[in-house]
Amino acid sequence: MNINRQNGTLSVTGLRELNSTNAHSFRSAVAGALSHDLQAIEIDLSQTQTVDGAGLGALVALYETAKEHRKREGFAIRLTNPAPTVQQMIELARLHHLFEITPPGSALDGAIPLST
Amino acid sequence: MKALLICPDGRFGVATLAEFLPLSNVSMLGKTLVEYWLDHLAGLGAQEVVVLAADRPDQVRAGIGAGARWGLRVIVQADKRERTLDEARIKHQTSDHATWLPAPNDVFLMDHLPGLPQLPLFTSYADWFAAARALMPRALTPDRIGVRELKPGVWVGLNARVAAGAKLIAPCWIGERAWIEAGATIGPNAVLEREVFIARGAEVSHSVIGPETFVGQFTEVRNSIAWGSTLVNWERDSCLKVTDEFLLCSRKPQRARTAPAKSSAPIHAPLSAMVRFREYVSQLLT
Repeated sequence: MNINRQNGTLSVTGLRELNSTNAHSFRSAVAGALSHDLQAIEIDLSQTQTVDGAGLGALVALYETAKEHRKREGFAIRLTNPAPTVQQMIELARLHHLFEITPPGSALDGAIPLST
Repeated sequence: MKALLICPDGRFGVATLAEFLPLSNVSMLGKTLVEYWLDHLAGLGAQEVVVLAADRPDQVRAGIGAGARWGLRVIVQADKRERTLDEARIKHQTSDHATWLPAPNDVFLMDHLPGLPQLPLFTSYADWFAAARALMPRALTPDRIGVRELKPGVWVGLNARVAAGAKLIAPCWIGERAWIEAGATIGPNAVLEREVFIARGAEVSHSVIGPETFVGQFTEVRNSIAWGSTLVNWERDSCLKVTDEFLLCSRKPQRARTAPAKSSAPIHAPLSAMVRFREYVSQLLT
């Protein structure tokens, strides 16, 4: 997993799985990279093959942490390029109401602001 | 009078549906496909029906028995492959043609519901869902015991339990012994087969929930066919095996025709993650 920061956006890439084996380390690593001047977090799920309940829990926990960390309007967490099955899992757990989901091939626009 | 029924063999477009049962035994609004067709043939005056089954004939036979329920004599014959209508006629209608129902009612391939030939069942999951939706307003037939139309477009089966705080949006079909907890939303265009359990706060719309399926708290099943732990999005044609039983699972052990592919993913999420996840979602979304 790689975490890069550019122009106020924290990008998480190279996530091959998001499940009980790495959910804790994922959350810790991303939460540790948060700062007050961030405008968005983008989590690239293009390489993510499996997501389970623990991984979804980590995403929700990250949402909560980011909400506490960054209360300014317009802040967004985007989940980009999820495989269809990963998107199904996200939707089953209703996390598409919390995060902006950008399917493969979609333009990044209309970020959903994080509620404060 | 005699008739032939041809069971559909495997269909690539709905492979997941045939994973646990032959397609003729898959339930739709509380009845299997072969049961709908035996109803239909009994209504046409058939007295003897030969059912040709290439896929798991023993299960087909176990599902319908000897046909006493319909006042028919039913014989299930194992076949090497799915026959065409003409092949079936040539092979089986060797006796006096006067003993068979007149064509085209003498042979049916069960790839659609009786009376709905314009709606193929097995070309895609979207077609399967479209047929289930079309069947809803026609399914309350006199032979259905205990099914009630609670309000226009909302049908509830025998011994189903719907909590007072659950929301039912027409059209929806709630099968026998289904259980819907308070705060759940069912519909529009939702079919719950028998013994489905919908937990508190879950939402089901534009979807079919297969028999004995548990749908967990605060989950959302939309544009999907959920069958045990299998979730098919009929709109995007993608299929997911859910490994977290608190989200979606079968209420009873399932026996697949072939062993499922081994997955590196754990079967159960850690309890702490499950509890945390449920707490977060319930706080954030309610």
